Amino acid sequence: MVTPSTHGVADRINEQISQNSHGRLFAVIYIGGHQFKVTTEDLLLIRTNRRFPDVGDRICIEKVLLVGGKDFTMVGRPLLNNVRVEATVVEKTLSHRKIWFYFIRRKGVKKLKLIQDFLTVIRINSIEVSEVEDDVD
Amino acid sequence: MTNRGIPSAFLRTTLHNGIGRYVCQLQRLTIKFCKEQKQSRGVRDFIENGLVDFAKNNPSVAVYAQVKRHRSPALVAEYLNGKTHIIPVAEKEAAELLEWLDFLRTRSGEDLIRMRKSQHTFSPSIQGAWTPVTNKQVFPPDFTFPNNELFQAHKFTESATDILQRLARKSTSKTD
Amino acid sequence: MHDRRRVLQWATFARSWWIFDANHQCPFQSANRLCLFLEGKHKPIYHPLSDCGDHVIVINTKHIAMPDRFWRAWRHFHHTQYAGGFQVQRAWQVHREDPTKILKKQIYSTLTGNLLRKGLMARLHLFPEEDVPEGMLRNVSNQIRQVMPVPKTLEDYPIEERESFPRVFEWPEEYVVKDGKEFERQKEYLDEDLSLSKLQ
Repeated sequence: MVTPSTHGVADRINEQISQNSHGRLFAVIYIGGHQFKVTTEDLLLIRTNRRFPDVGDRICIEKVLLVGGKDFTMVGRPLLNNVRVEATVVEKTLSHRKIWFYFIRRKGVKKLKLIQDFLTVIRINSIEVSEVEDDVD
Repeated sequence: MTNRGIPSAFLRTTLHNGIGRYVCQLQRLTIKFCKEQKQSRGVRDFIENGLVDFAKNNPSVAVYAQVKRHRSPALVAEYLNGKTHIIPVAEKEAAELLEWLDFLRTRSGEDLIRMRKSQHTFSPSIQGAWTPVTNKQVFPPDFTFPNNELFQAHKFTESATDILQRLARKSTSKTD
Repeated sequence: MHDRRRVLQWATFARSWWIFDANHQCPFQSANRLCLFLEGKHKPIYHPLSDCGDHVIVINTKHIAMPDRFWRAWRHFHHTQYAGGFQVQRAWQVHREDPTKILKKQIYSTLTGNLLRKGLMARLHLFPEEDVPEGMLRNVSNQIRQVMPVPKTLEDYPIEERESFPRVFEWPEEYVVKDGKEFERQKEYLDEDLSLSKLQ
């Protein structure tokens, strides 16, 4: 629905995008079961399995929920399709040893496990926005 | 042990790895093994079959095989940040060794300790950090506090008086 | 932390002063509202470990409103620390002695009972009437919205509106209308009698 306050907002955003004058962008991405607010040159630590892309590979993060710059914010419902977030896999390690201890008193029941998750460290290389369609009724 | 009792650190990489290009952090890998004992059997298998392929696939890593007679075998990995990680590999088969080598290759030299935050950023705020003045209601310069007219309680429900007045207004407009 | 970050930190965690008019407000609902501002929960930067609460000035605590049964039956206990010194007072008695005490006790009770509470109470400033020290009023930069609508009394309507309001019927001339000031009038008669008796 176009109200006096929303009219022309998409045009102004597209102007900044075409001139590349928006400056540093931030995005909210969904990865590894969590949402992160990222900009370029950010480091992220996510819990993954070992089949994640190898170290040094460049990946594109699919689920982007929000993108913003200094002057505008675009909120996806729930995802955005005009944003491209690229990242490099920098490290794949194990976490520190976490203690899982199960104990019932006076029954001789105790179990101890030392759990180490698979972790991946990602470096966000770029966030690119393409022009937005003004969905006017 | 609680998280307070164990060491912790913030997420980081050596020399901003990944901003330009990715650099493999593993500098030197030394495989220490014994020629005779059965503990090193898996290691010996690996050295015969898989070690050359591993070294070819990772040209940036200096791979050494060191004989340590009558000692347990180990993998010693030295990283670009100067830290060393030792993995004892006694009684381990060649297939498992490959997995451990892969682990050593893909990690940076940072210790395996609790990460306090799962993110690191150089620019935490783009639209400006919040201050009490962000999105604050602006008053004219001669405004004095308290001003009860502006800050009366919100009326979320219609009172009986409001309903009656609304009905009265409707009926008068109908008659008009 | 270098200079720019330090100044940004001061800006983000700056403490503001709020004012709240407790005239005809329920002390329990007001306490719920005011505690949010004392703790800092109205800020997006809130964290229980970061002391980000604001100052709150409350005026007209003498004119808080409760139902009649609360004034009569609400008990406040305190012990004088001497033997047999356990004392019970009703709300109206507490209010008569110290008009700020009911609201103060309620806010204290509503705040989380941790070590921060004493500091938060120190940032609460209660005044029975509208008299606030000028230095404090100068700090105030915002006002907290009232919790209950203040009802309009007959005296708040202008005289012309009152007179012009359509009447269903008119009182006869000789009818004496009760205006609630009989007690004062009786006192006047008593004073007159006493003065006359003195003359005699």
